[in-house]
Amino acid sequence: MREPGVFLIHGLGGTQYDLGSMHKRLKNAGFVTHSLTLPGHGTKPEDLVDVRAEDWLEAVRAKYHEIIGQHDVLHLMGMCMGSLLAVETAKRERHAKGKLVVLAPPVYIDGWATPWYRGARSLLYRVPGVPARMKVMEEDPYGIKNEQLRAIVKAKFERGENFHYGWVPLACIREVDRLRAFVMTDLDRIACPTLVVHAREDELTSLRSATYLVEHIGGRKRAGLARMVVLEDSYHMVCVDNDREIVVRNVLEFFDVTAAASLGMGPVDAAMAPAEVLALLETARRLLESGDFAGLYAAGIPDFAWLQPGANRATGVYRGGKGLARLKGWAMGEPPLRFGAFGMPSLNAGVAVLPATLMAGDVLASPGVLALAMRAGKLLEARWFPDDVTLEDRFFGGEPVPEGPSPQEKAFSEAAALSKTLRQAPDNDTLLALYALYKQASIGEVVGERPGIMDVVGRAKYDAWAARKGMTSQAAMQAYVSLVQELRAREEATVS
Amino acid sequence: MQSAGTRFIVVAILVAIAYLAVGMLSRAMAASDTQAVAVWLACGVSFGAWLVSPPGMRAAILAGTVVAAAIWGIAAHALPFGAALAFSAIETASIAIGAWIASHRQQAARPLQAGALLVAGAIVTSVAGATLAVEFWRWLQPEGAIDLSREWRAWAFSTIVGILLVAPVIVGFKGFAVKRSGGMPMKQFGAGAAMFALFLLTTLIVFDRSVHQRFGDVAATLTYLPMPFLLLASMFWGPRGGAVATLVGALLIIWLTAHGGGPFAIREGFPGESVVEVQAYVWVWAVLLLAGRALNEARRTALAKARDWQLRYERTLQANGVASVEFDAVTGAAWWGESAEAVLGAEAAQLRNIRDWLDRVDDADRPLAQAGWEAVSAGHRDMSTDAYDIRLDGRDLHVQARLAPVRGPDGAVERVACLLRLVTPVGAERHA
Repeated sequence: MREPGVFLIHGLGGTQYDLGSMHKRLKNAGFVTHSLTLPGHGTKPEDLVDVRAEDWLEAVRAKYHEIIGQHDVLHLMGMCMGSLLAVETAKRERHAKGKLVVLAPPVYIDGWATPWYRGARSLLYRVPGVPARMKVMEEDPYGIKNEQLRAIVKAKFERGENFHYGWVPLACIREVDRLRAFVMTDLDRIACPTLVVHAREDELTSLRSATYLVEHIGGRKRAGLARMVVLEDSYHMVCVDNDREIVVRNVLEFFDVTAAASLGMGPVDAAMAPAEVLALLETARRLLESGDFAGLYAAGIPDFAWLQPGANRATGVYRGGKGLARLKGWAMGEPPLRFGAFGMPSLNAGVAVLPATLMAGDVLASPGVLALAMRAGKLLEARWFPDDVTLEDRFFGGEPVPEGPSPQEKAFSEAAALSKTLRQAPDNDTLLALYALYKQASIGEVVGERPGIMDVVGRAKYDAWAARKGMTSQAAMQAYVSLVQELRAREEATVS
Repeated sequence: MQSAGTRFIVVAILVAIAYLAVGMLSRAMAASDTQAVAVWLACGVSFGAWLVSPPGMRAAILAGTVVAAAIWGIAAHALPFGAALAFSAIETASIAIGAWIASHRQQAARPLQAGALLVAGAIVTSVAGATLAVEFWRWLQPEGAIDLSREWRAWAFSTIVGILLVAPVIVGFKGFAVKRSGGMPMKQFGAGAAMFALFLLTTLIVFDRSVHQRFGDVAATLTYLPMPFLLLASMFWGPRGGAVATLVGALLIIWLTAHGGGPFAIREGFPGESVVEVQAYVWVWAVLLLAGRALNEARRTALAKARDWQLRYERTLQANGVASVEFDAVTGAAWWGESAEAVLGAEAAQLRNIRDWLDRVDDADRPLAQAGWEAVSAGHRDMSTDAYDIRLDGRDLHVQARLAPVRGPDGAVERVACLLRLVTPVGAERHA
């Protein structure tokens, strides 16, 4: 099966910048993305004067025919005017090989920030020379609600960067109006599932546009063919504004990238190239195959968690270093547990779903799937989903162990809490002793590099911790508890 | 591309045409009985054009004004050619002096300052023009058939009103561009239009010829009834729409009064008294509306500047992974900068007190962090720098905290300013 493709179309006067990180996110999710630069774009605004709506439609049609044969599934997606082109193309080409995503479609140009004289444009179209000469400016708020982002975009305009035209000729708006008229007819000819994403506060085009499309594409007998996502914290440029993550998530889900979601794991942005995801997955597979859970934790973030289902002594969430210590209690016994019989993984951005079998010598062989979430080269969490959880309940036996500290850990925690109530700050040596003992008790031997001489406090803390090298965790806990109690007693004696 | 010479001629011709067209409009609004011109809009055209033009184009504006004023002198005042030239020289010179004052340091001027300069320039133009014109009439008709004081008043008042009505419109529309979005939205325009409609309605009632029969002695007190609506319309519509509204509203009032309507035309102590009264009325309101718009613009500019500064400050902090927070030295209450959420997460920005912050510091580091806070808030130290782990939003972060006291006039610590730099999320190497 060939990789699915997505054809993305930018907006009026814009470039692929309009679509933010959509290309990247789709690629991360395993899609091949295609785009084009519409006629009159990518050069200078004057080049838009003679461009007709039919030219844009023809360019999109040509690109569509060029790529449609390359994929078993091809989705169409457009932003602003690009969304009108996507709708019209889906309609004219009877697109049925994939889905249609319509982002901020300007079916009506009636947003809250459109100027009051917008209705006069149809009169100006008829005045010779005016459509070609009149400039329609891009102005604050530039379609962006996020003020920091808006300031950045404003600065890009001021620098004259060619990511978006600063103005378009009125003639070009006339062509958008013609395109709007094309789009508003025969929408019931669209045969593919459609997602319309629109911001409630879109300053250029109101929610009425989205409603119109949804009602006409998926109305009456075709109910369910079109659906709408309303964004609450964005303006027109939905792919770059505050709700951009919501847009990406909804688009990916619409494209059925939901394997992770079906396992209770939300979509994760891997922030890695596909090759890196595969490499990390291979590492995890190898470690699981050898039953090296410590190695698995080392390949994860500090809070890496293993989620073990069922109703037995192994059931629970094993998070971080302490979680690993508890997990070792049942996973690295005799016979040790390991995974094998791996199937083909399914990747969805930062989540890999890996068919596997949990094995314990010849005693246990429990098939199921592993879901591994990963990001930036580290594992975030792993969840095991056995096909038959009762099989494992019988194997492990017992009841789920309530999580909780040992009596010594409890005393240590109480002492830590007590230290917060000390009314008088101890002297520096005592503070360093408290720090060092706490670290030795909770983490173990000193780690990391010794801070430089400029970081006086950091260096003193490091040295104090390093001075406890060799001290056991239990001894450090005991010493810490004693020191806190001594400080407390001294304080009470002073008060009395 | 037009050459400089062609551009000069085009600008001069355009100014001359506009001057004559607007002059005819002014003439059309002359009082029906005395033929006194209540408002001389034509000088406002040249005055406004000067204000919005680059220095290189001002000669063209003056040239257009000289030609148009000379034509006007011949056609409207039946002056001989030489006298018409003198008339046009007076008109042009007085405009040039006033406009020069109004445009003086205009680039750096704040809205209120620019408004004040415009009023000052208009006064200078009208006084200088009226004085020179009176001397001109005296020279032209030495036998004294003309009431020179009345001529002075008519020239000065009509000129100043004309400038204050027309020049703000021209200045307001400088740099106007049709916008795809970001222009005045329909709701704002509608609100202004509603106010303007109320202004028109009340004006047509108050300045009707039958106002005295309808309202009796109360009629005079109704004079100011329409103006709050014009003020509101002006506020809703901003500098451009407000200037247009003021011009249209004032012309309507002048026209109705000139044709015998309204409270000013009820009783006349001398011929043309109603014209003088309406000139004063319009002058006062034009200045008031100008000041109102300038205040509005000054407020908008100040807000934009403040927000700009704030965004820049927060952007600098955020880009460097720094969050700012200020604590009350006594109560420990916290005020977070906008970058706090982006740098440290949502939980940090919701912490209301230093105690909430310290509660989240890693147990190992907490006594040191607490000691640093106490030393600075009590004024024992002028700086405390520490690095520690803190758990926020379920994540372990390693932050560098720098606290400094902010002292009051008595030297006591009032606030503690704190910069928190995110060194790194606590990594595996820190938690072996």
